[in-house]
Amino acid sequence: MVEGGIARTLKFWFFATLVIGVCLANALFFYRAAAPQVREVLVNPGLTYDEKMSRIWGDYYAYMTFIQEHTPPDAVILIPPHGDAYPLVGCKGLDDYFLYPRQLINADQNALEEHPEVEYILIHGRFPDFPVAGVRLMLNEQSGVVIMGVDK
Amino acid sequence: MIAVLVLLLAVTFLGWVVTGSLRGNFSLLGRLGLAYGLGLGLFTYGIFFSSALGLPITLPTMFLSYSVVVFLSAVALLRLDRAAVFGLFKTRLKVPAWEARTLVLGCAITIVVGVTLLIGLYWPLRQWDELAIWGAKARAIFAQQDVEGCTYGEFPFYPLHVPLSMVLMLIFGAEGLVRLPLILNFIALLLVFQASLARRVRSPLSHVFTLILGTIPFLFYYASIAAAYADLTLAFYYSASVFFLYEFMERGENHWLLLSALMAGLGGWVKTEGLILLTINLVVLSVFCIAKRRWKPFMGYAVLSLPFGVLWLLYSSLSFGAQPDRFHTLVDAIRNLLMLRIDLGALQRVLQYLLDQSVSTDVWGWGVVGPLFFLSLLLSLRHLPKLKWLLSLILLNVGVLVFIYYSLGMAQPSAAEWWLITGFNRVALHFMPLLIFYSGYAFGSEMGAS
Repeated sequence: MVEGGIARTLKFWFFATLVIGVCLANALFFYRAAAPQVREVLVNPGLTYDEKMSRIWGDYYAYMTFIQEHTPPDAVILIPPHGDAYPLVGCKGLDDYFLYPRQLINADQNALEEHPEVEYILIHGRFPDFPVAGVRLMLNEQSGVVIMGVDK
Repeated sequence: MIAVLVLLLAVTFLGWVVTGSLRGNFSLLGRLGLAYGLGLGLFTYGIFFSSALGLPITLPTMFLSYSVVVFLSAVALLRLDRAAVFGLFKTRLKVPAWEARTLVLGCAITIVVGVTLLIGLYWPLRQWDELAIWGAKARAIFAQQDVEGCTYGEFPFYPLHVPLSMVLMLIFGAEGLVRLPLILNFIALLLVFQASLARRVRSPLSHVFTLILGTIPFLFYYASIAAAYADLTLAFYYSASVFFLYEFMERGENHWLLLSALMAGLGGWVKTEGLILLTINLVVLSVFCIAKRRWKPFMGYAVLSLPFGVLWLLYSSLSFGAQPDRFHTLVDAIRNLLMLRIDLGALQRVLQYLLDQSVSTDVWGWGVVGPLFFLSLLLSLRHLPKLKWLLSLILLNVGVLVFIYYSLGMAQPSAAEWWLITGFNRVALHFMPLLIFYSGYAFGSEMGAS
């Protein structure tokens, strides 16, 4: 009986030590992941929304803010085609978040013929790769917007 | 801030009514977590329903939806379990006599929750899914006062629980807190997990395993940095549904079946993948019912859980022609499987990825989950009879996930790696509570603490 009791106690403490070890190991994993995040919050407690978004999305956020400022809410805008060439600016869902309620249309071969209501075309990298008449407003060398049907 | 607090209390009250039949069978904190999740899910579903009927999504109509859902829940409870209505507020209200070890663990869990809230509330919507899917829909639905705003953002057929949770905050003028209802799901998950495990193993072991769950870096990431992804919310609803289904299978008490069906059904209202997880529960429950020669539980479960996701799919399909993509991929893969056309190379790639993830030491990895579960599997061999239904649910979940990624890789071999890297881990998020629960129970059984 006593031996059985000792064996049970040893078994209990073996597993208890194992569980505590596992818990501590996980806590270390957690610390490694969480500490830099907490530090970032504590070092920059007063960042504004724009500053936070600029840290995460960089030029893309600045570009979307620029488009917001230079197009009316009811604008119909042609954006670059969806795909690897334009992973951010060509992603309609992502642009939707920043540019709502503007109507966005992903460019394809016939986009301008199918959507004569388009008034603005984003300029980004090599896009648009077809001739467009209108005023060009540029944020930087890379990105801007064409206001169609408006002469210089 | 006070308005948001009132809203959260109202949501929890709704869930409290629905959980009436639990009476004193669940700890107070566990029931609060469950009530919050159930209340929020039923409330957003009520808002969707009223909007689909043509009512604008405004504060007065939300109040109307809320009142109707509370009324219907109370009536349903009255019909199902009359005594429970009169005992709605009977629960274990007394503070348990916590010993020092449990108190220390409780403090540690509170610190984890505090860190999660700090980081989660510091950041606005910031990650891709948060903005391109859920945030874009929430913004449009709020502005248009209509669920048809969901055509904004990616994937119009995605269910609306997450964006409508955000819309609640927007309507209450708390744009800076849009992630709060979703972060609270993490806390609710920990509470329900601890309360469920505490029904099987003694404290402090249930607290230790809750702490292990809360400190998984991968889970922490989706509770704080990417809090408005739908994956953690789905993991909460689905894992709770598994805990309750297992309770029903072990104890045969119908209220567990009811709660499991509601939680699994709401999972289908969080993400379309929730319907696949619900199907897993239905498959295991059907085997259980065949073994017991009882069909009522299966029928009741299906009737109660399926409408949440299925009605949404019908609505989105009829209203704006939205259809889940990749559905045909799964159908093709099932056909190939039935004809025994299996690509062993593709299967091995997915299995290898799963194994790598489970033992990875990446900063945002699974922590100790993989090794802990493997060890628990070995330990639990002696206890298989009482763990067999839980293990069946877990293994079927793993099998289905592997099969989904195998079939995606088969359909698009060039994108196989991309599918794995971008989606596999996230879709496996519900493994965390399930595997840790299993481990907790296995260790408890072996240590004589169950």
